[in-house]
Amino acid sequence: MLRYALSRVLLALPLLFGLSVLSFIYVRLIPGDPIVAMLGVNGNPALVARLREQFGLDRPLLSQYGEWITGVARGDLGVSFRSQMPISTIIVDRIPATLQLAGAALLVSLLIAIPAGVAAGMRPGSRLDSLITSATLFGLAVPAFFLGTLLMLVFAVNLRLVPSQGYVPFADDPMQSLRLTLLPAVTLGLAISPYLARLTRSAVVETIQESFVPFAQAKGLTPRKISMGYVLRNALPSLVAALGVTVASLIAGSIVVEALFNWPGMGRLVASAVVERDYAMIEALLLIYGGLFITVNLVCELVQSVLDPRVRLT
Amino acid sequence: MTAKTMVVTTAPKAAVRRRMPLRTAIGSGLGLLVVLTVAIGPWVIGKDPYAIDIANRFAGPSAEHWLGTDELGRDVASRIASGARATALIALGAVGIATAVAIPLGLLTGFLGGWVDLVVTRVVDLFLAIPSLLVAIGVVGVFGASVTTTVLALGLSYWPFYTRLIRSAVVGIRSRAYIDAARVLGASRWRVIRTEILTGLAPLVLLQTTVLLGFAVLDEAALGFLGLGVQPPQASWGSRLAESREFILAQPELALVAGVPIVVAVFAVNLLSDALRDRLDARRIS
Amino acid sequence: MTPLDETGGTVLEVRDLAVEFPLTGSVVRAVDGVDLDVAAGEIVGVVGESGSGKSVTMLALLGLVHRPGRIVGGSVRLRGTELAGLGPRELARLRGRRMALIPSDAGAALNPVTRIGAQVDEGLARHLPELPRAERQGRILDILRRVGLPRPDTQVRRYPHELSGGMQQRVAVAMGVQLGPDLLIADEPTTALDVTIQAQILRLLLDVREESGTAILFVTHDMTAVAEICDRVLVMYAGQIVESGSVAEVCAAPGHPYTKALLDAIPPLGGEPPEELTTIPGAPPDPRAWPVGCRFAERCPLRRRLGDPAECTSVAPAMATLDSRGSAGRRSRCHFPDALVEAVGGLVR
Repeated sequence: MLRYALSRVLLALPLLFGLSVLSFIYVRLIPGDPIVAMLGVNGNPALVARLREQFGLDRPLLSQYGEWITGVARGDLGVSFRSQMPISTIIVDRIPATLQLAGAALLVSLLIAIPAGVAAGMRPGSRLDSLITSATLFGLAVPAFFLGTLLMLVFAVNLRLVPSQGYVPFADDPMQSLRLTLLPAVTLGLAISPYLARLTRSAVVETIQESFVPFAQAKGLTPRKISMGYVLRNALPSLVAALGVTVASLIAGSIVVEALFNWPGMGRLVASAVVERDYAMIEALLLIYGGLFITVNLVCELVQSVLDPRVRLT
Repeated sequence: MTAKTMVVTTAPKAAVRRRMPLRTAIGSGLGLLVVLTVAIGPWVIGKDPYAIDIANRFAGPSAEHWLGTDELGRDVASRIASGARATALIALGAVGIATAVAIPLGLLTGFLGGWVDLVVTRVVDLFLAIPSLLVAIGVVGVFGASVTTTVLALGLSYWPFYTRLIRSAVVGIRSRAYIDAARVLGASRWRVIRTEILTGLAPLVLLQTTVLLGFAVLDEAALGFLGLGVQPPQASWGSRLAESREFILAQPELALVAGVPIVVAVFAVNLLSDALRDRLDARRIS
Repeated sequence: MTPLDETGGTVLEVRDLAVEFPLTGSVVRAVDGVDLDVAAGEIVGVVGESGSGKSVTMLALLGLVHRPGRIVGGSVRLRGTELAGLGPRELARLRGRRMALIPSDAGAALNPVTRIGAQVDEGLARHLPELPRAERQGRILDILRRVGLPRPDTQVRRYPHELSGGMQQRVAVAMGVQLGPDLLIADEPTTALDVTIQAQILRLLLDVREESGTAILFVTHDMTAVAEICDRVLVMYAGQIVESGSVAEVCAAPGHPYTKALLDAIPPLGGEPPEELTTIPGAPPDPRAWPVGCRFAERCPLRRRLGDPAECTSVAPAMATLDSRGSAGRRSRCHFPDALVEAVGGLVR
């Protein structure tokens, strides 16, 4: 078990290294002088000098990378040229909002997608399956901002049940914070649900075709026992893997949903960093989102190995 | 083969077949609607999508303006119709780029194996570690938002996943192709392998391009919505969203109207690709 | 339940059983009018090629034909109880307790994420819920010991994949026999095993019969195994039983050309039993449209020898008693069973 965990971690390391190289090269790929690209030819000379210092563009690539990655390891992601603040400070400020939204959205999605996927997968080809599958095909076609606008229009503008936009830290005013989270979380949760539901369905369909299912029936076990102890229990490792994959949609969705609901999370940094040509910030965000995705999937793999005794062997 | 596997594999297959006609019919109907919009929409509506009429801004639907007017008094219907063309071209271009990269790379790695395979696979894994929308946004960061960048950005964000798909398909087909090729002699061996690979890949490529077209329409819209896609006033479905976003609280109908064609187009693509997938699956079983 | 004395020693009585699977535009009648009886303490072999309907028949007996397939007709009586009239819950109560299954590939049939002990316990907990946990524990070890699993007290804590194929099969046998069922359906229980372990499992089935007088339906490809442990044999072809009788009589003088071909496909003494009986030329007919006449006619060497009589392809043969030889219950679905006897030798390729 421990050896398996260790080997998985060791496999993730080169990926993280590659990611850091990719993020690093990214800024250096920008045609021409990135500092000029950011600030224009008539940029503030003091700032230009400082950014040149930060990126160290006149030194050899290898030493640039060495310095940058050491900084990253210490939690120093450089300075955003727009706000002149340390990037790590900006990002850390944004993390609670993003986690609150992503967590709530994931909860919404789990509540919708897992039951729907299981119901469809348990009886493939049934009318319920057709209905759910068609619903996911439709759901996949509805962009998050469209859904969000619709929900906003109905529940905030017309019914006035919840505020339409804004964010209050949970610690400041829990009730208001939750009320504000509701619409964006439902939007993002619904947006990723079709993916998760489809992954769940195929995991379940695959499991019910295993020959331990008819054997369990031949033992006279109750349908309840068979669906819980056999089908779902055996589909669980695949469901965990599906959850890891869904995090990519969650990240992409959060960028859009945060923009729609004026939600001050990490996702909003992405769009504004690109518009403002804040390359140090883009570099940092690529690294963080990629690292997050790699880590989440590593954790999912480890959880899988706990859930499936066969995996631990290899 | 035991009866258990036989019973269960018969079940979904038979049921899936029953469901197909309705799904295909709806998908084709909606798809036709989209194609017609792209092909003759602007001509049918016959209005200049760029003609500003400030006096008539935010007008509701009327005989003059079927879907009303936008914040500058421009005809919404004609902006959507001409935007459809831009979006369709972007989607086709992006999928074209992804396919053009993925097929040669997938064939190369799947066939050669060895270090070429290893290197490309690692790079693919690396790109897959970054959510594809983020890859696209990164590309926009380098080149600046424009139609060309959007095509490039989406194309570059799809290739890793597509390459991996082609590679694994090639590996699967390869061994079978070699076995069949061993039965014949000389130069025709290559022909056997080539035919097997091509006939094996063609349906997969057809399916995957369809699926990606849907993704491309969605992602073009997402980029547009974030202000990173096609830039207003140039008409596309994505830029239409960027324009309407400013008025999202005051005039949410504009954003909804702008979103409907996206839903219709992608739903059509999803229905058709799902039907296609079932047909391919059924063929593989039998 | 119904008193068993009325039916004497008969455990299972099946009449005119039919199972269908609807496909697009057609219907597969996988089991078509099967009659069979099994007495207590009797081992009845069911042989035939893949797709002959033998496995579907067994699932139908257990009430486990799944949508869209369904049992379209016939009667299945277990100790006099008509199963066709029972609801799903009542059927589930009988399964595992009064009729049990030994699967062909225990490695795939055992739940991979549950420990052996817990899996054996599932059946006990389900069918004997009043039994205290500690007592169930004792019974689990006892039954595992009886099927010859070495060191059962350590094996119960292991997962299926940690056991060898032979041990997995023993566990599956243990689960099948633990509640002393009236009827045990062994669906190719030895196909996935190597020869020595096959012999051990067959031995185990004989022991079960000795000890509890269980009626056993033994489904197999392997005529040699049938000859070793079965009392009677049923030969299935294209969804029907084409021949039945005692093993000795059927082997000595087959009453159907298909049986004859099956027997000819056995390799000489000492050789490996065949995996699949592929030595009969041709393929079984399309199950979506069974032939009007005899279903074996297309591949039948006897028909060719007899100069292609019209009956073979135009009249469906009935299951008829072979009066001329053998005991009662010796039946064949061939128009010319006597011609077969005369032709013995001439048919051997």
